Amino acid sequence: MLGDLVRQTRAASLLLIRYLARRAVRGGAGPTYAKSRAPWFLLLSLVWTLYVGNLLWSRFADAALKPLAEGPPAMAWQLIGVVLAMVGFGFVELAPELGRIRPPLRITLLDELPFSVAARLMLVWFRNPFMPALTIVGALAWSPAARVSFGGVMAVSGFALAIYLAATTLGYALGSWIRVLFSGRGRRAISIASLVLVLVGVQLLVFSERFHHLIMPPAPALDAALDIRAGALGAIALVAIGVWLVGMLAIAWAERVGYDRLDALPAGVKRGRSVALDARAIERLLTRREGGLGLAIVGWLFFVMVAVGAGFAIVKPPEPDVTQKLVLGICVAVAYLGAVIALSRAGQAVRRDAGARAFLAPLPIAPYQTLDGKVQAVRGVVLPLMLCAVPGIALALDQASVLGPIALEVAWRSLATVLVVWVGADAAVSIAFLTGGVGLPGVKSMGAPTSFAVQLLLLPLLAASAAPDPVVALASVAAVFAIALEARRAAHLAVRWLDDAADDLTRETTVWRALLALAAFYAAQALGGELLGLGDLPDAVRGALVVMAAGVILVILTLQGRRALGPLRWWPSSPIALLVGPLAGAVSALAALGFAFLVRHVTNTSTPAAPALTPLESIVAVFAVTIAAPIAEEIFFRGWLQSAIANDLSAKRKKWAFAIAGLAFALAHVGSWIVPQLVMGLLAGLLYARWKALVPTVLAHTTHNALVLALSGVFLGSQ
Amino acid sequence: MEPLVRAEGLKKSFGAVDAVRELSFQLAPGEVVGLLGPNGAGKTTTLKLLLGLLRPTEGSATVLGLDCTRQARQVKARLGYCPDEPAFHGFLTGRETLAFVASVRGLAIGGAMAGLEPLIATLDFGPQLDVFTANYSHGTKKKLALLAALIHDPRVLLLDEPTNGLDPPTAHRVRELLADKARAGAAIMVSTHLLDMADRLCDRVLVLDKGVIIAEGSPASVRSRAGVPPEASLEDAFLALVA
Repeated sequence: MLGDLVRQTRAASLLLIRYLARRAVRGGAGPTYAKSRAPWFLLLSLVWTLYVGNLLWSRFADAALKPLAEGPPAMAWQLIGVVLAMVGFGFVELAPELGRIRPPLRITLLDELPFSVAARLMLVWFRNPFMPALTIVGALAWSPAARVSFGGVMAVSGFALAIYLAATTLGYALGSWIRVLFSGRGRRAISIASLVLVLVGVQLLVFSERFHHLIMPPAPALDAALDIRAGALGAIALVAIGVWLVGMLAIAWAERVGYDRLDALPAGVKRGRSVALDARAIERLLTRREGGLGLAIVGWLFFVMVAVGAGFAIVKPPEPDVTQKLVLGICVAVAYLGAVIALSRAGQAVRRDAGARAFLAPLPIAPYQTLDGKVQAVRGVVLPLMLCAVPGIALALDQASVLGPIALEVAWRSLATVLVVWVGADAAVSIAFLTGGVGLPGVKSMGAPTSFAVQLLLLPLLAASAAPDPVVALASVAAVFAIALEARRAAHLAVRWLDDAADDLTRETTVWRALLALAAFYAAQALGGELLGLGDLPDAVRGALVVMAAGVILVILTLQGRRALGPLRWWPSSPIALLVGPLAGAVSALAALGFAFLVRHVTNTSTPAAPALTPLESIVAVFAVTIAAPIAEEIFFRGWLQSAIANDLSAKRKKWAFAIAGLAFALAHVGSWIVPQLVMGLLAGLLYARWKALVPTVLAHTTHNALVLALSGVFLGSQ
Repeated sequence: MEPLVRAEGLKKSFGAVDAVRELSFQLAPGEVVGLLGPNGAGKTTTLKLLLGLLRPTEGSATVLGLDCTRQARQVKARLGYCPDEPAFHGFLTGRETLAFVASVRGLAIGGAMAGLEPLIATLDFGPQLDVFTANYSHGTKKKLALLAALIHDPRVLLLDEPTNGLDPPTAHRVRELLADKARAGAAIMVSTHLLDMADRLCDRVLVLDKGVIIAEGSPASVRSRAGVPPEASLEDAFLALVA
């Protein structure tokens, strides 16, 4: 008995590891990347998830730990919210009526084999390792007192894991019994309820303070009992283990009674007239039947709830900065949810086609001809969500005195958000083509397109909705547009209904792979900043260290990714290039300073003085800005991106590669001045196009950075 | 008469494995050719090469004068293909699936459906038309795949185990239907391991083993080639050939 369990658990683990590794390969870089690199992509992806989790949770932790005038912190409601959300996650696993056929749990093989409940559940828990990881990060954010010791960290992590296991098992048990007891449309409605459960949980988490005071009377007893710092941790963990055991028994019992399969479709539809079903109409019809409308309704509910919560948030004296944060928060949430829904719908549509390859492949239609239909269908689902955001923002700003000063910001931010998701839907479908592999046989049961390619899209997408000003927002929209364009080009180029995997390996263009590396660079910068933020370092030094760490990652990825383009060339054939390089750097530095002077003159703002640095700190900062960053960035932007673009373009258009790479360079510096960086990028691009060597462009970049660093104090009065 | 399908020196390798080698044959109008062979002999690979779903390692094939690799789309537009393991969009009904096929093939939906009526009656498919294909049995899927392959009345038909999963009366009607199509001038290639069917339906058979044609000709000539008496079954001949 025990031996069986061990063997099955081992088999399930092996299946899971292989699944995760393959998903990482496909999501990260496609089959041309060696299998051995899969763990790296998985690791980086996990690190990035933890970073985002830490960022999110630390915001909630602020609310949870802030002592309120009316009573203890609102952590209890947050905890209930988290548990509800996780029950929902477990439930969603078993909700085939949502059209989510979830591999590898759903494959017939597992249903047919006598897999024990324990082994099957293990797959549910850890199918997505990011969920338990996020839970642990959240619990740590809640418990500043425990974070200081190793034992405390272990105890809090164990506690979070127990909660996670118990809640997801409970949700899974709920799903099992609903599959046994209900059928047809009833089950479909209940399936959608599983998502509502997740959303209610998230609402409780986000608006814990508001629920605490406005919906329920203060409940100090409950708060005290559940307060992690009060030491009730062990008791809660024990309860969680009890719930987990009960859940296991419930699932085992449901399987004994009758664990039916996926034959949940209604028997038929009304006899309709024969309508034209072209490549676009079929996508709309299928999206509607696969549960797209249900999801849109849930999205709508979510935003009604956000709006109500937001309304509560400014019931009390309206403060402009609070309202501003609220608008930003709503826009980021809209962009993020819009992107996630677009990606999930796109992945589903592509996997559905992959499942019907035997039918589609012999027809005179190429996969990319279904791309536009899919984009339209995805937008059809996401658009209601976007439109719900508008009344949400309006409701939140139902304060004329507040609305006045930030009306302009509301306008450009909403517009940027809707625009970026509109463009993002196109990228989402192309990414699904690239990572979901319509053209590849044998991948039809693999998971949704996730990890790197998705983050590549999400980063500029979130940047557009959270941008500090319209120019940065526009730049981020342009970045998403560039990604959408390249992803579509890659999808058009290579995806075919071929039966030979070896014939379809060129699906990803080198430019696409270079963009993936750029996403890693972004992620490393953001992550590094967050990690170093824990230490007591001046901003300048922290920034320098982050630039250097991210630079190392960028160089490693570049050296691996650009191998197809041949070895990097450093020295130019002519020594004149070594003079022209610094000259170009000086020109662009002067342009940058002029631009900064102009901006300061027009906006009448002054740069805040930076804190004084020790000599060692200054050396680190200067080294990072003038040596490390230029070398790493030139290796990537000129050595890989520009060469890859030139390689992909026709002979006639090759000469424009420098402009595209220069634009990408400017977009990558979206936080600083984008216009001067464009000048720098274009000049360095021209140098590289002329001499095909890195030393002149590195010299230009170094000169630019050094002059800006040295002269900004003289001209702009900053340190 | 000009052949409708022509394959010359076709070879397809998957890594170190040669699925088919030195395959050359022709299909004339009105001819039904059987592709016989044990599992893994290269039958399905041959059909997929003709359909442009696989790129030949060497050699080439044409359908109606069009190159199967370079002009795969045009070839697909003119061919009818029935896969061995049909799979459809589960959330579409049979009628909607056929409407989609008609639309992709540029046919008027009403006309195409009217043209299919006799076939639907032959296959007794009427009651299944408005049921989601996810609820179809294997045999029903096979019927829908046949309807989808025949909707544009193609001059060349490639059928992979067309009667697999069909009940005996329906299988019989499908054989008659194919014979009718051949009499009307279509060239049909049938991959099958049902030797009885090949014996009754095919004018000519190609016996494949390990990717090579080991016998070719009318069922009678294959019997004599295998050295079995004329009254022996094709199965006896086949067993003698691949032994």
